[in-house]
Amino acid sequence: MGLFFVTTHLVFAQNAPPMTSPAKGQPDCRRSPAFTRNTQIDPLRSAFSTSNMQYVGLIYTEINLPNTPPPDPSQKLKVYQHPSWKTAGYFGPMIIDAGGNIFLAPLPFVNLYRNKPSQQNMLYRVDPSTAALKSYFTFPTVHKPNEQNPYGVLGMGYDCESKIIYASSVQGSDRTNERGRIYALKTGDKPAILDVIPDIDGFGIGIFTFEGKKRMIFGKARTPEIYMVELTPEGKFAGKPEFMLSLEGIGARGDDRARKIRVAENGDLTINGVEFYFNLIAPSERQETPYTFRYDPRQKAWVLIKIGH
Amino acid sequence: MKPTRLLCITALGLLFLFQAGLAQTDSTQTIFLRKAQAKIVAALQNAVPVIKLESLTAQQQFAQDVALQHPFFKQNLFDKDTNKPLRNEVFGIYQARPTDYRSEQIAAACASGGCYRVEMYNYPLNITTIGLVNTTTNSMLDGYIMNQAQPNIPAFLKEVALEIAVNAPEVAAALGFKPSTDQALMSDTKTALNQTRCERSKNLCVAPTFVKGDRALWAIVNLTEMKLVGVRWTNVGTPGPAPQMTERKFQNEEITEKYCTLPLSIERNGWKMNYIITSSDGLQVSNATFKSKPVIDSAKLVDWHVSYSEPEGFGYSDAIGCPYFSTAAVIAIDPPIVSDLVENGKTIGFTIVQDFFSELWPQACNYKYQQRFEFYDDGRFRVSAANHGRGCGNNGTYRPVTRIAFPAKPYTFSEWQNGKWASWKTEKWQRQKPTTPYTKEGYQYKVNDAAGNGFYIAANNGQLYDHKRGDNAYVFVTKRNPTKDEGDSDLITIGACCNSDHQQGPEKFMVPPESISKAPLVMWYVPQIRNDDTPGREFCWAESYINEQGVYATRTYPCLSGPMFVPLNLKP
Repeated sequence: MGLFFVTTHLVFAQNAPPMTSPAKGQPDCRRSPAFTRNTQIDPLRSAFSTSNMQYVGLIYTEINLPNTPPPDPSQKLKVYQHPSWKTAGYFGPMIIDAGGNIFLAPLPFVNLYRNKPSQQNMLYRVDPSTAALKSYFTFPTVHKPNEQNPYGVLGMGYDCESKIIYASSVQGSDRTNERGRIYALKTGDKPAILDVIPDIDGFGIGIFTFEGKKRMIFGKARTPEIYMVELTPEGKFAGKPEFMLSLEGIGARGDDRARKIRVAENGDLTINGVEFYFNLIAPSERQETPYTFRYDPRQKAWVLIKIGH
Repeated sequence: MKPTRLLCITALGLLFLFQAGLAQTDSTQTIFLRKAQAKIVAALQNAVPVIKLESLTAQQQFAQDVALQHPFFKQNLFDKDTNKPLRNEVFGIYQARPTDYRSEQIAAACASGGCYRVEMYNYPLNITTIGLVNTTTNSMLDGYIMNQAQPNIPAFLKEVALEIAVNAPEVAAALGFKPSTDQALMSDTKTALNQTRCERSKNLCVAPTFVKGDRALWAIVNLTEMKLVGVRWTNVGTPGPAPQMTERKFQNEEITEKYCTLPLSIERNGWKMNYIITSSDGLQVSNATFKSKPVIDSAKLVDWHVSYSEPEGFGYSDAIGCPYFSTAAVIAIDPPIVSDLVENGKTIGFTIVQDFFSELWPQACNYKYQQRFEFYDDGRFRVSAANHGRGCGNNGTYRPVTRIAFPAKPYTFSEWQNGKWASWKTEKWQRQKPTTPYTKEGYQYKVNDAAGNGFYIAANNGQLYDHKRGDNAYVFVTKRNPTKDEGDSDLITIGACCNSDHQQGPEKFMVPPESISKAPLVMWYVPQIRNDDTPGREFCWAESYINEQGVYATRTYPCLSGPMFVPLNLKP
C-alpha cells in the first residue's frame, strides 16, 4: 500500500525529528541598496529578480505579497532597470551584502546569444549608490569552455561574518571530466581568491554552523548529492567534503540538483531542487521544488520533513 | 520494438507524419497483451468507464462498487472538453489503517472495522483518486485526489509489465537469452519490480529488474502505452542510495552514447555518408558522396529562430542537439530513423529523420523540431526542416537556419535571371519573392564546379511532393575559408529570435563581402514559415486528443521546408 511519488509533506512530518538541532543558519545580513530610494518602488513590496523572462538581466520590481491584496490591482507592477543591468546578458545567482552591494553571476538562458561562454566565469557588482553594474571579478580559466558545457559560475553562497563569497564554477567540465571548482572569494575593493576546491562541479551553496563549526554546504551539479565541508576561522576550506544527503528518488522528478541552499536559524535546511543536465532546456513551467530537511541526532541523518512551500 | 512513429509517403506523394500515443499493436505483441488492451477498450465503453480490480473478497468488491458510484470518483472519468472516456483503473482496495483516517470522526466511524481504502489511477491526467469507504454503512467517508501521484500497481499490471519485459528483444539481447515469465522469477535471475519514472511522457512506468552477477538490468516498461522504453545495466552494491534508472536517464544516456559521441556511417542506394547528433547544430550529415562523387561536406541546422507578432520582439532562438552536456534548448530523446523513401509503391531513396523535443511538448511554449534529409536514387537530395508546433501562440514565424557546406573545392554559384544563369561574384544574400524568376523546371540557383559537376537548386514554392506553402526563404552564400571557422565546428547561437529581415546570423560572416568566384562555398538557407491554427488549415501546429485507449495522443501538422538539389552532371 502507499504511493510511489508522494508530493505532500504530511507523510514526512509524522516522523519529524525534534526541533533541537546541531545545525544553525546565519542571520540575514542583506541590506537594501541606497539607490532603491530613488526608484519610487515601495521597499516593503519589492524584490530584485534575474528570472523575469520579459527582461534581460536584473530588475528591481514591485511584487505582490502573499495573502496581501495589492494596493491598486488595476496598476501594473512597477519595474526599475538601470541601463547597465541588461548589458551582461541573463544572470543566475545573486547575493546582496550588508552594504547593499549586489553580486551577480551570469547564466545563459535558452541560448548563448547574450551570454557568451567565455564570459560566464565571472561576477558582476551593482554599486549600491549609483546602481551601475560593472564587472567585479573574473575567476581564472583553468579549462576553457567547450561545446558540451556553456556554463561558468552556477551557484553562490555568502558568509555574512567573514564577507566571503563562495562560488561554484563548472567552466571547462564536460561529459567525462569533472573540472569544476569551488572558490572562496574575499570581497571588498580588492577581491581575492582565498582558497579553492578543485575538480568538483558544484551548484547551490549555503553557509551554516553544524556541531559548533562553520561549514559550507553545496549541491553537486552532476548528481543529486549534497556535501558539506568545514571552514577555517579565516574562511578557507578545511578537509574534504563529506556526503550529507541525496535528493535521489525524492519529489516529482527524482534526481533534482540543488540550485539554491538555505539554512534557517533553527537549523532547518531548505534545498531548491531543479532539473539540470548541463544543457539549455528551459521548460515553460518552472520546474523547481523546495525540499526541507532537519537533522535528527538520533539517526545522525538529515530527515526530509517537507516538500513544497 | 517497432517504433510508434509511423512515416510514409503515399502514392499521391503526400507526407503524413503521426506521433502516436497508442499502445503497441504490432505482430510481436503477445496474446496476453492483446487481451489486456481489449480489456481497456471494453471498459471504456461502459457507463462508468473504469477498469475494475478483479479477484476481490466480497467486502472489497462492495467497497469498489460503492466508490465507483460516488460522484467524487466520477469527476475525472471523462474529458471535460470532448466527453470522451479517460482511462481510469482501480489499482488497490485495502482494509483501512489508522493512518488513513484524516479526522477523529472518520476514525470513530471506522472503529468497528469495515472501512476500505480504494485507490484509482487516472492515466491521462496522471492523478490518483483515493476514497475511504465504510462497507458497513454503504457510504464513502472521505476522498481526495493526489496530482502527479501513482499508486502501487495491482498484480495484473505486474504481469503485463513482466510480459512486456520478457518478450522484448532488447531484454533478451542484453541478458544473452530470452527469459520466460517463470525464469524471470527464478533465483538465478532474481527479478524485482522496481519503481521508476517516466518523467518526460508523464506515464505510468515500472521496471522489472534482472540481477545478473554484480549488475542489474533495468527494463523500463511504460504501462500507459504498454511498451518497453528501454533497457539499461546498472551496478549493484555501490554505497549510497541506489540510483534509479528512469525514462529520462535512459534516453539521455542512450542518445548520448550511441549518437552524440562518434559519427555513424551509412551506405545505401549509391549514397555514402556519416551522421551524428551535435551539441547545438542538430543532426549533422557529413562527407556525403553519391556514386563516389563528393556532394556535401556537411549539412546541419544551426538555429531555430521563433518570433511572435504579439508582443513584438517576443520569441526564442533555439538550438537543437544532444540531450545533456550540450548547448541545446530542444533536445533529441529518440534516435535518428533511417527509412525507405517510397513513391507510388516504389522505393526511390531513403530518409534520415531526427526529432527534437521540448520536455513538455505539445503544451504551449514547447516545441518539436524535425530535421529530414532525403537522398534519392537518382542523385537528388533535400535538406529540410519541419516544425511540429506548438509554440506560444498562433502568430508565430519560424526561421530555421540551415548550413550546407559543399566540398572544399572551387565552385560557382549562380541565380536564374533574365532567362540565363548569372553568377554571384561576392558573398551575398537574397530573399525569395513572388517575383523571383525560376527555370521552367523550377530551379532558382545553380552551384557547379569547373567540370560542370554540381546541382540545380529548386526552391520550395509548394510544388514539392509535400504540397507545403513555400519557403519565402533567405539564401546566403559565403566563402568557406580554411583559416576561419565560420561554422565548420559547432556554432553557438548566431542570430536573435525576432529579426524579420535578413539578419538571421549568416550575414555576420560576409563582412566585408569576400569574392566567391570559383571558391569553396557555404550555402545558408533560412525559410520563413508562419504557423496557423485555423481548423482545416493547421500548419506548424500540434494538438492533443484522447485516443481509443483513453489517453492523450498528439496530432501534428508539420510545416516542412527546404530546397531540392538536383544533380546537373553526374560524370566523374
